[in-house]
Formats: sequence, structure tokens, C-alpha cells
Amino acid sequence: MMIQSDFLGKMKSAIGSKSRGDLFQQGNLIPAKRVKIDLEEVIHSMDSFRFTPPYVEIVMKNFPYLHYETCPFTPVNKELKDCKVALVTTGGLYIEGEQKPYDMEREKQDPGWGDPSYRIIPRNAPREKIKIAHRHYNKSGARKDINVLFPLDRFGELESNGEIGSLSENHYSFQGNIPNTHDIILRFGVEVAIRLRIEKVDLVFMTPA
Amino acid sequence: MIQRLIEDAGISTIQVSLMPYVLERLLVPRAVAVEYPFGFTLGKPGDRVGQMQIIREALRAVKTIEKPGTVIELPYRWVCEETDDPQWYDGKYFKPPEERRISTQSKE
Repeated sequence: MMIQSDFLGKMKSAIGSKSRGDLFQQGNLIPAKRVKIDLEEVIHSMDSFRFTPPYVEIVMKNFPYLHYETCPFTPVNKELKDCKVALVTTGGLYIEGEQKPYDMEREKQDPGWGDPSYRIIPRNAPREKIKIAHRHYNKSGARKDINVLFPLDRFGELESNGEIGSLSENHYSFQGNIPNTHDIILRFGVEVAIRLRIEKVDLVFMTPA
Repeated sequence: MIQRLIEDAGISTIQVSLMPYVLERLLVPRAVAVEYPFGFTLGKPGDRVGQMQIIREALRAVKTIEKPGTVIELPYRWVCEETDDPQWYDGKYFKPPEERRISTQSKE
């Protein structure tokens, strides 16, 4: 398909001549083992498109997905009560006054582009200052209670109960679920992976929008 | 996907997902799926008990999932009151409740 070939071409040109191994060696990362997957026929008990506007179903069913045969896997060797946990979300959070919001103007003009950058959200940020810049979901719940997307308070309670080892100081927020970010997210995704590795995080809890 | 990059770096991850349809096509190491609207991933705002339930199920799944690409679908369902509260159904993001469809979605 034309769309799929352009997509992969863009991705290859964005990565350039450096291989994945070079990118990881810069941060002293050890790549995890890749496991080959065989998917049989899948039966779902839930409907992914129950609450979405109709255009989402059409886009998702016709999107040229990249075909993966393997999947990285890092087994957890520690008990949960010794793990350090960090949160990563794609809900488009940022801190008002200290960080720039995501680029909504350019997204309106160019629908195939999504802002791939991330923001660092510290654990003790004042909750009134955490704002959201994202165009494609209902933000009323997250404005009332940020724990719906980014459960900082809940993990604080788990830490004081002793169910997890500790909660990391810095958490990360990306923006959007937009197709064009795949060729640039490798840069920002690898940066976040390196930062998490420097902070010696054991487990990452991810929530989409 | 960000989750694959972080797992490749040697850090375990788990995702609370709202669309297992996409996870079937983009394989992810560990995931837990919930049928909630976008923007309400862990439940209703202020619902401390419901949020903790989903978080605890996800943390339990970190240990129990052995094969990457597994998605555990949780039985929690979005409960709306009979009288349509316009707060939840604003026409743009939500449709009124319909009967849940059970479908077979194979890899095509």
C-alpha cells in the first residue's frame, strides 16, 4: 500500500544510518531479550470503540500498523515491595508556568502531525498547576481529579502502606496518539528510557489518555 | 511505541489500556484492559476505591504475565445512571449507552 511504504520510508530516513545498538550504547543500556510471538485467533469480551466518536473507529480499522513479530520482555526479578515505580502517560500533561504546553496550533493546521515531546512532572508538583493540552479526549474528569490518568496520590498511598518499594521523584508525560510521531518518538522515547535507567527505576506504570 | 522502548532498555512495564484492538496489532509486553471512556482510564474522578482496584490488578499482573503480548481484560464496566446526565454524554465524545457487543477480532 502506498501509505505504508511512505510511512516506513520516513521512519528509516529518520533513524539514519545509526542502528539501534548504537543508540543504546550511548546510554549504557542493555537490550532485553526479544521473544517471538504467535497470535492465535483472539476473542474479546469488551468493545474498544464503545465510547469513541465514529471517526476513531474508521481511522483505527484502516490504519497501516507496523507488523511486529517479536516483543521485548524484561522479567521482574524483585518482589513488588522492593520495586521503584515511575509513571508515564500520553495524556498531554504539563506544568503551567514552568513548562511550555504542547503545540496545538500546528496540530490543527497539520492533522498528520503530533507533538512528540515529553515533560517531566515531579512527584510533589502542586496539583492545581498540572494542566492538560490534548485535543482528542474528554478532559473534564482529569481536571477534577488528576489521579484518573496519573495516579500520583494513589501510588503515594501504596508507598506508605509498603506495597511498593518507593515512588520515583520524576514522572514523564507525552502527548497524543497520532500516527506521524512514530518516526520521531524514537528520539524522545530513548531519552526517557535513559533517564529512567539513570534513576534506577524498576517498574513503569503507563496510562494512555 | 514508548512501552516497547522502555522494556527494551531493561525496565519492566505495564499498561492500563482502553483499546485492546490496537494492542492486538502492536504487540506490547504486558497490558491490562478496561472498558472505560478516554480520559477516565482508572475510573470516575474521586473514586478512590475503584482506582485502587485497577492499580492493584495491574500490579498483580506484573508477576502473573509470563508471555509478552498478553492482555488481561478486566471485568470492570463503566456504570452510568439510568437518567442521562448531560455531563457524560455531550455528543462529541460520548454516545448514549448501547448493548455491549461481543466480537471476534482475528489478526487480518
